[in-house]
Amino acid sequence: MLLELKNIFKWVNSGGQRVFLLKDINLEVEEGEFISVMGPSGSGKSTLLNVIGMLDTFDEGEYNFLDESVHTLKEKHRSNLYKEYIGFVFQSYHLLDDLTVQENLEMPLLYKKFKGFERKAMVADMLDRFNIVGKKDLFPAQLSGGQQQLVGVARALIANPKLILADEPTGNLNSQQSEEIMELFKKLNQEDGVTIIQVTHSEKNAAYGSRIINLLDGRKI
Amino acid sequence: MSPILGVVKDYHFQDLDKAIEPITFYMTKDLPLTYAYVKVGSTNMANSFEAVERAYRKLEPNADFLGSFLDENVDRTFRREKSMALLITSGALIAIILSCIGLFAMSILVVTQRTKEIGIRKVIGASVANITFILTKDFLILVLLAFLIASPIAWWFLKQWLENYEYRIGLSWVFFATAGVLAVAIAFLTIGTRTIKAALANPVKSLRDE
Ligand SMILES: Nc1ncnc2c1ncn2[C@@H]1O[C@H](COP(=O)(O)OP(=O)(O)O)[C@@H](O)[C@H]1O
Ligand SMILES: [Mg+2]
Repeated sequence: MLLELKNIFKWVNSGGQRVFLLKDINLEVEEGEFISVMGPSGSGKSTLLNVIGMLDTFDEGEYNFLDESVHTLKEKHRSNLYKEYIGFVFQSYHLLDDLTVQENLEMPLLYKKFKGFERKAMVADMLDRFNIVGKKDLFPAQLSGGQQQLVGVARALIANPKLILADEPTGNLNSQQSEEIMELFKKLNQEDGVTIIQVTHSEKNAAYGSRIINLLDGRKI
Repeated sequence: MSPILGVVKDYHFQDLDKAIEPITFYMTKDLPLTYAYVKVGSTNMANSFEAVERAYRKLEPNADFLGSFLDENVDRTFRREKSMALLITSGALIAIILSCIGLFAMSILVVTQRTKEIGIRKVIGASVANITFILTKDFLILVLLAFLIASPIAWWFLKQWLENYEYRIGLSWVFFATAGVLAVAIAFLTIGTRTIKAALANPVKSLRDE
């Protein structure tokens, strides 16, 4: 098992009242799964993804990732865990505007303390794999949305994470670009065994996954 | 000729910018009395002063008594230096405070402009120390640049100023190094509050897709 959420609650206090963002979430994810999270806007999909990605905390419940109990880990240890095993893909790509494609891909490796020659090799390999060698010296603003998201996925994958978390990765793309990204996810999942959890509004995209989780008002239905 | 009764240490009997020259004290009945030095205990100085005045009036009832404390006289020769030091220190203090206010405002602006970038970097693995360094680096470069420009100028003026004095300290690099370290420390304290706070912030907030 890759990860397990047990009775996860998350809330914020607003005007003296508890507003629940996540309510009693139970979820087990095996390695190699491809899961789609669906639900109306504001139902807590992004919040769930951020909790799984350890970017956000929760108030109650247990979270086990591989053999670690995330809820008891210190901040430092937790960030090492997600640095090693988790990659993020966002709806609006979130590339660094001032850096070229190549530099964007290298940045996570710098933070993960890879050596210079390793970084070079990994970046070259990724550019090659995603067919964007010709774009390596361009800045994000010089790319189409689909190409930017391709770089976004490449950046998430570059340090060989076990889990990719994608929050509406095709939300800003046209249908042809969406299909390319979804095909890419499918290939990563089936050929490379990367576990993927994606948030999507589209039934068509959700069908690429092996399982669908529906959320409503922070609750699994 | 009279016998030598004693030798005293060198001391400044003129303004500080004059060299200490030889001076001889005579004890002779032939010369008119101009000064009388009286050593008094340091407890109850006012009483001692009055006692000296009474004694003087008894001896010289027709002359004015113009008594004063010697250490106050010496202090008076330092007055110019003291007021100059005060002027420069307060000027420098005001300049430092004004620059810090500017620096602080700049740090707020920069941190606000780079919120999204900070969030992205955190998500792809940057630590709090990485982010603080990125945000602080540019400011510290400015401070170092200012230091490089100011040091030779300060050195030149200080040298000129010290030339006024016959007895002076040498200009050591230690003064400049201390000033540089202090400048960096003050700059870091000023911007650190903002940059560390930004580095600690949860990236989820700055990356929300709306
Ligand atoms: N830190 C927060 N404070 C208050 N409300 C929040 C916070 N984070 C999220 N929410 C609210 O929680 C709900 C779920 O948000 P989100 O997970 O982004 O939904 P989704 O991604 O499904 O659209 C939304 O109504 C949002 O406004
Ligand atoms: Mg969302």
